[in-house]
Amino acid sequence: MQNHTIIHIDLNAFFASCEQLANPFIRNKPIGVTSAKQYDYAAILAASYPAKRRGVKGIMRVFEARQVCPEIILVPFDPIKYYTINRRVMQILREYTPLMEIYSIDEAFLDLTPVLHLHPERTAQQIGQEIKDRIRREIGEPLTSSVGIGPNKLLAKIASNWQKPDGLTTITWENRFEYLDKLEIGDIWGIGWHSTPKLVELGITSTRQLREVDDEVLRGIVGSYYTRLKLIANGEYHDPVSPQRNSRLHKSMQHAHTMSTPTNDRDELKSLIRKMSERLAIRLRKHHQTARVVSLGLRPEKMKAYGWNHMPRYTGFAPVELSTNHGKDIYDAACRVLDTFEYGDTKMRLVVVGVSELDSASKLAFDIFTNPKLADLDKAMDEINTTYGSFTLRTGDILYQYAKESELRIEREDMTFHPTSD
Amino acid sequence: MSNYEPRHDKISVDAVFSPGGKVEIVSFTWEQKDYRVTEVTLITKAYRGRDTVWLFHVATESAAFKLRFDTDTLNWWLEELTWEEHPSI
Repeated sequence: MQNHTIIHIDLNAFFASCEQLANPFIRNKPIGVTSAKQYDYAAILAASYPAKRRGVKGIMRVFEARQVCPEIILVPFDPIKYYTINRRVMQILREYTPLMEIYSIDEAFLDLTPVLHLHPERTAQQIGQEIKDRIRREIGEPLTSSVGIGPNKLLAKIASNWQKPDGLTTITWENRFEYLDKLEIGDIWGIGWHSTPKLVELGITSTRQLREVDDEVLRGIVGSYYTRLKLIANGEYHDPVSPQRNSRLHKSMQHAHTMSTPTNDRDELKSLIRKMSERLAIRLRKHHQTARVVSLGLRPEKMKAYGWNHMPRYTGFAPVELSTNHGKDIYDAACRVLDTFEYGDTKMRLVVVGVSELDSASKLAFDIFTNPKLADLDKAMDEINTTYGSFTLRTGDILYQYAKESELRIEREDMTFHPTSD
Repeated sequence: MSNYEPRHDKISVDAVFSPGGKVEIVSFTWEQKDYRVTEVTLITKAYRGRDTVWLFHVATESAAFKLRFDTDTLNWWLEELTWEEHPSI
């Protein structure tokens, strides 16, 4: 995989750019996309480049963003907008090669190797520039992209990251070390947050050091993963561009909810967890998957008073007895985790429910403990809700949560996007 | 300084539906005031159950709006507005 021509396209500040595309009055301004703009503790999910230049980062809370950039314009997260624009971008990219891998909502790899001979008059750089130009011209001027070209996916991704926003960078097999060796070890794709502290502790902060460290020493630190790290340090990457990945199964899913009014009332928290569990179950069933582990996380209000590093976090996980995609099973496991938390009078602001160790639903355990009536009920509810709108039919135990929400909110929540539809 | 406000108001819309599925939003009336659309920036489609909902992101001289068209009821709604100077002032 060192002699291919791979293009990596990264749509710059994608969510923020989509908002600027839809709204001419916020173009070229510092904007932050947030889940709940009216709450100081909501997260900034994405920031425009003017906001980034002012110090706003994607991991900040709203109140922190306002501290560094008081004039920041906050806009609500709008997934329908992002999926629509993503689909238009991917339609353009598909015209260049059948070997396209959608890596995320704002990234894709193209393998031009089998089609470059069809365009002998054009280089990969010219195609990369054409893609950038077409995205801006055909979809919208605010939508800039950084394009990287390399002999494999790793080097193409490093190249696209080299110049942001609106860059076009080519890394060849011959000049790869000029780029690789300038990167911090933690900034390299494939070297994650898990390995980086271990490597830094060993004094390895550059790819050059990673190449030169003794194999056995490295194996002692990261185990069998050392072979992969050695390849990455050398710019080698053998994973092909895989169109099949576009439909790959999820490895985990989670839902997060920031409450407008923090609470330490366990019944209220359980009511919210019940609804979030049902949402996860619906997603699992939609993707024909089941989960074996449920996780729960709570974060208290007044995070600023604690400071980020000293803030108490309540997290835990629990296995489910049988791999499941039934909301009540997820809820029961999450409640078992909740029952282990001793938070006293501390009021909680953020609730995160997740599922992991996912299986294909075809492997759903079928034995005398499985209740076929529940599966039939889920199927019937999914059919009705698909026809008439999310949660048109819902179980009685989540009615309380709905009673708290305004009609408008329900209207907005009920609107869904079907990526497979035209 | 831009301001954002979510709304859920029924509106009247002057739109031209052309062959080939093209829709041009010309103007709309909200709270008894007419707004001439200068630009349709983005059109998206969503679903509420089996019903299709079209969302039109449009701009006027002074503000940006998100309009919703329910194909089931044929009603138009104003969903959001963003303004520098409030358009109704």
